[in-house]
Amino acid sequence: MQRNLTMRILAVSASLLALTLPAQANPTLEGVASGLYELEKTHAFLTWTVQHNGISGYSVNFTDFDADLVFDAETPANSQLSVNINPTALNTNYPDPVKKVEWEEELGTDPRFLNAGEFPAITFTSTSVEQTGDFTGTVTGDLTFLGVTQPVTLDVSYGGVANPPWFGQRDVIGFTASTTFNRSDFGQTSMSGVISDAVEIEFSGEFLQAEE
Amino acid sequence: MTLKSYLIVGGSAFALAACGSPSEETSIDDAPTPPVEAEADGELHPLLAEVAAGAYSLEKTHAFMTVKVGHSGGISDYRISFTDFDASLDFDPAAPESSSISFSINPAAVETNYPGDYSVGHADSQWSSWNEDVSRDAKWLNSDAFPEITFVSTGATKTGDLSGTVTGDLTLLGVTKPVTLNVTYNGVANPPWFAPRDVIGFDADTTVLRSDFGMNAFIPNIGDEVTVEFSGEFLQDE
Repeated sequence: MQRNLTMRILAVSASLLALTLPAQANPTLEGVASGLYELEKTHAFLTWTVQHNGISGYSVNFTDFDADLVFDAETPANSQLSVNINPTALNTNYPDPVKKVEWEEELGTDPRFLNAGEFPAITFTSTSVEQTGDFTGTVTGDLTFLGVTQPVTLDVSYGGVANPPWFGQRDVIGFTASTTFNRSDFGQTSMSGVISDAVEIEFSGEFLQAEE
Repeated sequence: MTLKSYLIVGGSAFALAACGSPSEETSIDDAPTPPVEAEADGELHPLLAEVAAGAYSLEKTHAFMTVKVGHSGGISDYRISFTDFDASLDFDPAAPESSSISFSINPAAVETNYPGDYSVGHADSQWSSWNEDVSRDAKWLNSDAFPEITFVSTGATKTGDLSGTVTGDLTLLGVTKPVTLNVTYNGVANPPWFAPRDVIGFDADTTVLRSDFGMNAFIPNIGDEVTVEFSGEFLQDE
């Protein structure tokens, strides 16, 4: 009990300390650890958007995905990224709660859409990285979707490093990434008069240095 | 094939899909994109030419509103969607700058897409989920005390054929401040199940400082600047 209280006070103090530290000059790569990082899933967002009837963007969030990053802070172009997405875990924010469940199930499993029964994972594995600015670059890799693998290039911005005390010595680094591809390149042509061929992908999230 | 008939055909297919009917997929060839030319003197832009003036309401099944705020000093964007909001639009295609709009947002309905069980790692929290924490906690949206966020336009300007700004009063946490939205008009659709009512689509975004509304928690670790993005459709009232 006593220990528990002490731990709690320490944790609270550490939180306050973290919150009151002056904002560091970010983004910076200085002092950032190289090596394996894993997605910090509580701060990671992956959204796809298609145009509906050509007049509005329809946005859906993937809610179950993971990523491993081998980050080289000195030579970011040597970094490697792999992403694994569960196509059945979707959030459409559909307003009716009953229809929401049905609609997400249909989007995830219908052969016209993500067809997860046959293709239970969407994966991306980087094949090359190019640095285009101090904190920007492109990551090209193989996107496997609906069983079809095609090269896709992500535009990536490095957001900087944080060191929240609850992660101890481990670095947390943030990125934003986006890309656009044509779903027809992966064999999905359903409702092409209503739903755009172009699919925009947006990611923003954090990676936590893996424990040794 | 006109834009309207193309969208009607497309819209039928979407209806079948959205209702989950045991439908055969309707085959739709890509229709040629209708010509979209700059507005000639005295003529409306083609995307505005056949659009009804008057009252529209939000078509809630095609409407998204997301806020983005920097996390950990801005190393990533944290994203929160509002899932219960409504809007009324009085639209004049011939003089879009004389249009008006009002939004009502339920701050108790937010979606953070938090993975896993929040209570496991937050045993001390008085809230059962992170969504509830963001909605109800006094340092965040404080929805018990302030159960509505509203935006009521006070003026609009046209900045291009299909773009403009909408300025209005945003009321958040009981504080009212002027905010200006950047707006793009995307066009009209006529799905047959709404016939003959028009459906028009817009994108909008703005940036506000949450400290202007008295929400100061964790600045700057969590950014003061909040970006709001909207994309959605409005259905002509019957």
